[in-house]
Amino acid sequence: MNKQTIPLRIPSSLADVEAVIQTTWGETPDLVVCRLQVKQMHKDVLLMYLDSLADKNSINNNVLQPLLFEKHHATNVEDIAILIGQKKYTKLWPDIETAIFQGESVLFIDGEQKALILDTQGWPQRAIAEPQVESSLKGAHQGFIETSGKNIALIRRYLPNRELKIKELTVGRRGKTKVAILYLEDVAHPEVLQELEDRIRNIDVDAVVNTGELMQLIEDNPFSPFPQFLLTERPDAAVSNLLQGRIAIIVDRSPSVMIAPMSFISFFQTVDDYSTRWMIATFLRLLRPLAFFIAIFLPSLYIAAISFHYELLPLNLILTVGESREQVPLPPILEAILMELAIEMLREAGLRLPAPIGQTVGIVGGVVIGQAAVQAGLVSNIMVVVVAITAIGSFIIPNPDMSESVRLIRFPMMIVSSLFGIVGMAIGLMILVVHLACLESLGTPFGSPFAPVRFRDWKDTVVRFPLWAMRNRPLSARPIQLKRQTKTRK
Amino acid sequence: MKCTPLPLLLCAVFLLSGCGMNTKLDSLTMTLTLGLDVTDDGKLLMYSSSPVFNKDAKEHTEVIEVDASSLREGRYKVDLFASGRTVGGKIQNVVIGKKLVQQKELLSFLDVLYRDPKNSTTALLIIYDGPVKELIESKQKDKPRLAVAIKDLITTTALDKQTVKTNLLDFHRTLFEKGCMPFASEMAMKNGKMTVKGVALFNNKGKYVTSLSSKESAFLQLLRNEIKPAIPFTLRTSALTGNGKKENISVSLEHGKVRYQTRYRNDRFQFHIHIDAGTIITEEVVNVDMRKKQKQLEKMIAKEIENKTKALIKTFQKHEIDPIGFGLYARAYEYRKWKKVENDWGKAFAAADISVSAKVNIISYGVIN
Repeated sequence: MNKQTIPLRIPSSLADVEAVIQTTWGETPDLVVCRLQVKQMHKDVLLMYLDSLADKNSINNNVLQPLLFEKHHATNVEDIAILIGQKKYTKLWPDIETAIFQGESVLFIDGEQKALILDTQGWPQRAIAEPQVESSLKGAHQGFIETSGKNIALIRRYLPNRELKIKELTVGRRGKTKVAILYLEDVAHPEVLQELEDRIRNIDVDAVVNTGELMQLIEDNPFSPFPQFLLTERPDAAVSNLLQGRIAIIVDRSPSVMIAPMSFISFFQTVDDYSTRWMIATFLRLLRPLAFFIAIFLPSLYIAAISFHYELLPLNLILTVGESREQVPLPPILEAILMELAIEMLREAGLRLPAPIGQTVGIVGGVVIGQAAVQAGLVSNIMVVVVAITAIGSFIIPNPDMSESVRLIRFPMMIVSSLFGIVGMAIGLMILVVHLACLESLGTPFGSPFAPVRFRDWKDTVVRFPLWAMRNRPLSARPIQLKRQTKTRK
Repeated sequence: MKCTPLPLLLCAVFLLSGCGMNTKLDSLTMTLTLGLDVTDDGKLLMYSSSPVFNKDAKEHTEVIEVDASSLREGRYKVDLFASGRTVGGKIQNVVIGKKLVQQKELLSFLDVLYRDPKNSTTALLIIYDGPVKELIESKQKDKPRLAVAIKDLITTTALDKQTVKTNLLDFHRTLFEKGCMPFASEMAMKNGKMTVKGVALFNNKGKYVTSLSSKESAFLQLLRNEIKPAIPFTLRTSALTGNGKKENISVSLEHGKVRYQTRYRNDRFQFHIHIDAGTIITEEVVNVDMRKKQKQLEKMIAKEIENKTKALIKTFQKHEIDPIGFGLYARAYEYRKWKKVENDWGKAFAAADISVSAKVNIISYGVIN
């Protein structure tokens, strides 16, 4: 508790109120407290709000103007005319504090033991813009922003449905972050929902600044390299997941929305898959798991092939590889790690630098990696090609979290293959598969529909059946209402 | 699951054993072409030709010659010369001097290639007419590396049926199969350039018997029912013009059926081969309207096929060799009789009555009139 003793209840005299404010709200220059007389009741009132969080226009026009100039006579407090719809009364100081910090203004009335909280929120926020990380060709061009209310609105626009329920929780002792849980009541499984809610309620931290932090606090397996929940900044992606019986978690002040529970294969699907024709979507979906394996295993395969299993390569390839490695002084593993680290650094540098300098990084990196390193005899041409294909492979994976996991796993695989060749790679692959099969997301199997095998759900995995053929929601999120459409086509 | 993947991965990896033998590409002397020959006084010579991956080396092929009593012993000697570890996992061609196969049975020399699984068994087996040194040390400026050049030469020539493509496994199989006998491609040097000479034929002990020319090779493969993609041949005839001057007609046998009839009569095997062929005329030097003489032409080509194959079979019978595999048919249709002669099939084959009949159907005269 604070050093000064704060009374729990609001004192009735305005002088006492002022005294409390002065002791508890020292050194808050943006706090505005003004005393004025209400014309309607001829009573003194005290209006208090945070200058930085409240909407001044709204206070002037909707609060001050009626208070000062309205001639209508009010007999009691409830009758005071104020042009704001959302108002509530409270008798407790903690409520007032919360309200003030959320940009609301509080009206204390002389002689009353309750105060009026008025919704005058107006903090700085940006306009709704195109999603930056997950761009799409055919999906909507609206992305989530940092205000949870707006984000909920974006989702509601897709689901004008009473079954869309929203549970609001608060997380963090200091941060008091509002966390909204959105779900379709007749689709989402109550047990899964309960599990999620319990996990969020159990969080006891100072503040949750971002959705990513919340995700790590409630993950099933924090030691896995793989993300177990999806972060998206696309409302249409969130909605399509809601419709599959998953749950969306919106964290106030964070532009990404978390989707839970997730399955492994969902990280390789995009909204565009459903809006392109099914053959093309299937082709793209086949490409992504391929890219996943290439991004993890190609450098290790290269190392294994030229340090253990030269028989693996056809003769002409051996000659090409041998000739391109003629002047390389490094063993394959060092060559590969050098190049992979270089490209990871390049990527990170490009990500953090402002756009105009970022271009320079691209040019420098491109020249250094593509040309100079080869000409200087540090690495071979083939290695450059391998690194490039690997990098492209990891770019194809649509989810950035999954893409980063893949980039990380590549390194242990390279070490293993430099020690034991293909045998090591095979063991690495087995561990990977076993790990993926063991993972859970909110208690539902992460590997679904492959582990456990659910053939019916394979319609929407590495292939995408035509929309009219997918009549049921996937089982992985344990929806309680399975059927989502009837037969529309023969 | 409460286990973390990384420690698990490391544990599993460090429990592994036995794969520590590193074979780095850079530090290998990869024998791509293996040569075997014999000197006049009976000493065995072994050649290894391997690529060199080093920018400082002037030559990009390293040839090592050693005298050895066997291949494996020879390899140890090669190791003395080679800068890298000698490995045989990528051997493309095994070139054997004709003199060696004329004197000795081949299989015992090749044993290590079959026994040691690290050696490649898909290498082509090639008989070289002349000293192997000549081929393996030849530098052909207009050709890629020797191993690639030889392999390409044999592969593409075998595609137009002018020779056969026999790898070590094929040789092994036909050698141990009692019903047929091995054959391999034969090369020689002509005007300083390597060239395909035809087919070398072996008896069932793996000893060289005789050779076929590249023209005869086409009919050997026709008899073996290996027609795909096509068997081209040229015949010279004066029958069409009628003026006594022989002219060339080139034919491509596109598809066909070769049927074997097997019987045992009069204490000997009787085989009848019926060839049903569809052909395309690919070249016709003489200018006559062949359409009018189609029947005649078809008969003529059929006659040619019959003559050539009969001559071929006669050669085989003379040398008591059976590269076509009549023994397989004998075993399938006359098992009891076959069982009696299976260990001496060459003799029984030589005594067999073999007749050939051919029927030719011309599919097309080409795209010009």
